[in-house]
Amino acid sequence: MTTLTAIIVDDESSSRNSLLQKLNDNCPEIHILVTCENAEEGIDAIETHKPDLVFLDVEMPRMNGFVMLQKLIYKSFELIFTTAYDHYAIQAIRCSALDYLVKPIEVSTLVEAVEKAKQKKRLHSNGDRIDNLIHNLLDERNQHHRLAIPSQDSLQFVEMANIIYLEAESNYTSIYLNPEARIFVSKTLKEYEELLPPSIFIRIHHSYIINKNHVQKYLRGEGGQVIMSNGKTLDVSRRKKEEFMKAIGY
Amino acid sequence: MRYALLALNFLLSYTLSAQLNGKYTFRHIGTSDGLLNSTVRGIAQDEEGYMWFLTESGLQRYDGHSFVNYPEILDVNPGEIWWVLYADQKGSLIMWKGDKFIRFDLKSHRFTAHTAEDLFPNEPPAPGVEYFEDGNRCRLDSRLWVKYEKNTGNIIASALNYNLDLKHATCWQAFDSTTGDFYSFEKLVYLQIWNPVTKQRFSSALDPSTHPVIKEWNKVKIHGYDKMMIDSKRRIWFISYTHHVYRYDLNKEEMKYFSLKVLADKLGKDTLQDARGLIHFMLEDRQKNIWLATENVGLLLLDQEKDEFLCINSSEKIIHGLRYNYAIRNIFQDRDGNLWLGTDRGINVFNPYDNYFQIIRNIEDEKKSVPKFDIMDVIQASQGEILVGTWDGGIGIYDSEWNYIRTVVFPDIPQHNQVWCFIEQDDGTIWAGCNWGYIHKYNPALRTFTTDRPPETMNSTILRMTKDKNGNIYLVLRNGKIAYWSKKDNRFYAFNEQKSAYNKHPAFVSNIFIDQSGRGWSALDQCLLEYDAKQLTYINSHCAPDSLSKYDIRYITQFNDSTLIIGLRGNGVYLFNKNSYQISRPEIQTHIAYTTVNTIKQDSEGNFWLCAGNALYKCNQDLSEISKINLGYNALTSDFYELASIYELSDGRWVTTTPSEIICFDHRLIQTEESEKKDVLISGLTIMKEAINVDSLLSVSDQLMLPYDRNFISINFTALEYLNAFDFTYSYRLKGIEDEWNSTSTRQAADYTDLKPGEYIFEVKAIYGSSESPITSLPIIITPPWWDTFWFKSLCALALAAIAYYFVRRRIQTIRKEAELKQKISETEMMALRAQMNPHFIFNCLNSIDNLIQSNQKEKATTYLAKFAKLIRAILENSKTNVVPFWKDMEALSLYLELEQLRWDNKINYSIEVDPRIQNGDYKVPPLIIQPFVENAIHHGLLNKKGSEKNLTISAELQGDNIKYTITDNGVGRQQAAEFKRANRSSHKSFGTKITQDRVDIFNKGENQSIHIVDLYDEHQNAIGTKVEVWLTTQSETT
Repeated sequence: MTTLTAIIVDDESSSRNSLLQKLNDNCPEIHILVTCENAEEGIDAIETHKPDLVFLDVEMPRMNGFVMLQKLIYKSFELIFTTAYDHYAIQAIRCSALDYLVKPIEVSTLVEAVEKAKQKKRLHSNGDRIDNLIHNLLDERNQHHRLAIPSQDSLQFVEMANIIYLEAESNYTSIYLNPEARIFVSKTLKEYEELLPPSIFIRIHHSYIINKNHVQKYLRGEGGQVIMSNGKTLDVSRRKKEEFMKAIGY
Repeated sequence: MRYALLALNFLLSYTLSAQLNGKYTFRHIGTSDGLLNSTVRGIAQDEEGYMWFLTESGLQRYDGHSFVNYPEILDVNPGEIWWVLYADQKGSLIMWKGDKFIRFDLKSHRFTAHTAEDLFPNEPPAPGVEYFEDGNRCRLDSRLWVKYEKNTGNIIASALNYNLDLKHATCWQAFDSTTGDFYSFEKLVYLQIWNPVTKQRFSSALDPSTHPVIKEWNKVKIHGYDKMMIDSKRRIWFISYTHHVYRYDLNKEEMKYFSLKVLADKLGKDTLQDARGLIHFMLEDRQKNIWLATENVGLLLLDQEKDEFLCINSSEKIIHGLRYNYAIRNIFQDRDGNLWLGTDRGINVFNPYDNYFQIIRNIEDEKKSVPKFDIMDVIQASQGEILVGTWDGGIGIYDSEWNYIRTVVFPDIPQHNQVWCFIEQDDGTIWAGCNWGYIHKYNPALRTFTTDRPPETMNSTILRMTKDKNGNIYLVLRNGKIAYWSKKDNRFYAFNEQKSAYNKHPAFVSNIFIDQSGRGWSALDQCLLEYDAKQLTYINSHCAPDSLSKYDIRYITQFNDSTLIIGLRGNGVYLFNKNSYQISRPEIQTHIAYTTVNTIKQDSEGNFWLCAGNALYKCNQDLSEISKINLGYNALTSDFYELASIYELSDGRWVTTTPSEIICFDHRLIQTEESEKKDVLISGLTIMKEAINVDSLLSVSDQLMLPYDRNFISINFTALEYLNAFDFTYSYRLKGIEDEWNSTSTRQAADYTDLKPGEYIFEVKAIYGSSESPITSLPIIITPPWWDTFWFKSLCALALAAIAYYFVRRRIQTIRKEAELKQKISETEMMALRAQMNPHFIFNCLNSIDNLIQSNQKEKATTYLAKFAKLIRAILENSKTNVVPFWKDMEALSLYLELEQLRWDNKINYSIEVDPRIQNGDYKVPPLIIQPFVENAIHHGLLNKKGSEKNLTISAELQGDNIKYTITDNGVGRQQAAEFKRANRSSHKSFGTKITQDRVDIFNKGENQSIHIVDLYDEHQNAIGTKVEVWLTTQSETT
């Protein structure tokens, strides 16, 4: 049995204790090296112990989890965020294809996350995701947010501005990029709808999410049609028309 | 000498006999047309042009189509029968009887009764005075007043002188403007002559008299004079109660008398035993012809040359002839020159002057008139005789003035009497082509007929004959073939018809036209046939294109050297180019598109005349203009009869025929310029089924103004055409609801129902063929009800708007204030709830409980869970109301603090101090109003602080009317906390304090500064915490 070394960073003792308890009870392969009650301690512990896995609370006094990550030199660990409630944080985490747990932590979710961490460990790609997260967080004006798109054996970081539109194909999604690239992802369009910032991306149809900055022309009709910057014509469903018109500023 | 003259005159009068019957065409208006009574006493025309008839059953207005009746006249002086009618020039009709009269106002349509005395008001009565003179007035006898101009002696008015304006019609007085003599009868027996200038008065009663007229008068010695008239030649006509008419010529100073007895005797009438009333009326018309209306002898016209009367009688046998039972009572000439005769059998109208056409037709049982049988053709012999060929009636022969000479009927064979056409041989012999190929030849010198039947006619009826320039004759046969008579050989030939494909029977055959080059043109049905007239052979046929193929060719003649003009059955004319065989249609075609053109004749000026249907047309040389010729009223017996051909008499007159009449006219005299058409008059108005006097209405205003509820209108109109032979129609429209013209001919009225309020213009005009009258307009304004007028509506709208504006404005202001407040409150409350329910806090609390469970601290977990539940309950309950009792709120705050403390492992110390007056008093506060400050103190102030001693103090005290909260922490201070926040790029936006601020403001109604935050420092200016002070206005439950 492979053991994974882990560090927990959380400012609330009850959180730390409860997580520790759950790991002990359900994930024997996790060996907790140390628990830290604030970010400063966390940095020290990670740089010192270079753990396989870090459970990191997002919201902490003085220095939060994200800032702590920026300050790390060593990033080759699997990262699982823990958070009580923070929609914004969760979205950022998902965009970078990082894992997270919501408090109070459900045991089965915890086991699953640990299991994933064990597999990803071999891929050594975690640093990129953390970098992407940091990148997105630093880019306060959302200009160059990147989306981590997992594929069979790698992770691709795509600047959201380059996404022209996304098309649902049963349980998969095709992402059309500028210029003339297409990524085929085994995620549903609905997942992306949650992930992508609604200020830029609009669901115009049960099969399409488009980047409104790539709309070149709108053709009137029952729902109408949009011509995207790559020349593709997409239908706007009748139900979505009003929403769409509002979004593009009519 | 004078006796001799008189005797001569007596002799002359015996010639008074020539008949005019049949010369004029009369129109009859009788009771079946709407006349109230067949005895017409008076006829007049008002200034607008309406005709007025006075009958024994009332007064009537006539517009040429319909009557308007005024029987009320019978109620004025009941029992009186008014005898005389005339229109004065002051807008009245005057009706006289004896010395009484009625005035009828043409505008108000009211009758007023008068006596002759009314004409001379304030005249002092002079009983017993026969002759009385005063100023410019003179009373000649008990009834007769005369008013004259003092300087000139002209008579202005006289009682009994009912129609001074109509100078040349019979009445009881006459005025000779040359001498200034005024003639009147004295006691119906004596003639008196009075001169207003010389004041001389002569009377036949004072015998002997020095006046020449009275001298002559006395010589005649016949009493019973009725009326007199002075004509334009200064001849005074005296009409007696007997059948005598006396005439004294003031210029020649001679008397003549006419006896109608002679004429009556000639007419075979035995009704003269009662000679009284024989002559009713005399008129000299504007053409200076003198007409006499008589009893039993009819209408007489003075033949000015022979100085004898010509007679027109009533005859049932004459179509459109004069009709009366016994008497013609009066004669009136209207402004169009029509003569109106009032008889005992209605009215007769005719125009003896507007008539270029002499109509000659059969008179029933009159052997000396035109044969009754269908008239086929007319020809004039070289010696002047006119031959009229009939179908089945042989040939009638007349002199050149259409006086009957004889009828030639051929015995034995009926077909001999079925004449179709005539032609004159160069030697003067007249041929009559008949049925079955017979030809009668008439020798005009010997006046004898011979009959021939050449075999070349193949026993076929000879329909038409044509002579070429060499005198050869071509015969068009019913079988569609052509026979030829050579002048040189004096024998007949048949045309070589081998190539002709036509052998139809029966066929419509046209005439044959031989052009200058010897090409012959004839037609069978729709096809034009071309012949070589010299070689007597058929050459070719030119059938019309499809568009014309159903129309038979009726007539062919030359249009110009290269072109023929072809008349069609039912489709006007076309032009045929003999060289190119091209067909074209001239401009005039549109006017005669559906007409049958039977004959086309070019006059010496180059104009083409067309016999088209029942009308005669004249076209200019290039066929670009066409005008219809007015044949006169009722010229044709039937509209279905067509004009067949045109024949030119030796004196240049033309003759055309229909089956029942011969129409002779001089085309050179006919004026085709359309006379200016009169305006159409609005003759009546019916509003809501009620007839309105349009004259009085339009005399006040030139527009018709009606209220909205009187908007069913019927408008009658008339062109006042009494004798127009044209089929004229009216076109009308109501501008405002229609732009298209409506057409009507039978009903001279337009109906409009339910007109909406607005302005309209009714327009009407009369259309006479190609010309039309000016448009008559009647503006109609339907006024809206007062509550629907623009002004009222505007006023209402304005007032409403003003009131509404005032209220709305006031309301808007209050609503806006309220809404602003309400929205702020609701928003704030919502936000407050959210702030209180900070999910982070909730989930963290839950996480803490989870931990207690994980670490088996059962008791603690239960306690913690209970407190959490209590807090959530408090929050949920409080969220329903805006205010809660102070103590309750403080309880919730304590719970919150306890939970936070538990979460942070009791690292935070807190204390709460509450003024017991508040705690126990009846104070209300917004729920969890200071919770956000407490949360801030913990999270930003205390938790960011390293090390221990995290203290939080909360106090509440009464300060005047306010509850004052103080929250003091010894945390890092606001500045430090902000720095941490910035470093974390925290996206978590804290609305807590902002919302609280708003809530407090709302609660305090923005009355004072209610939140105060103080940063605390030690003596070294290090931050040692924050103090927040909140003031709330006290509010008790009862307020």
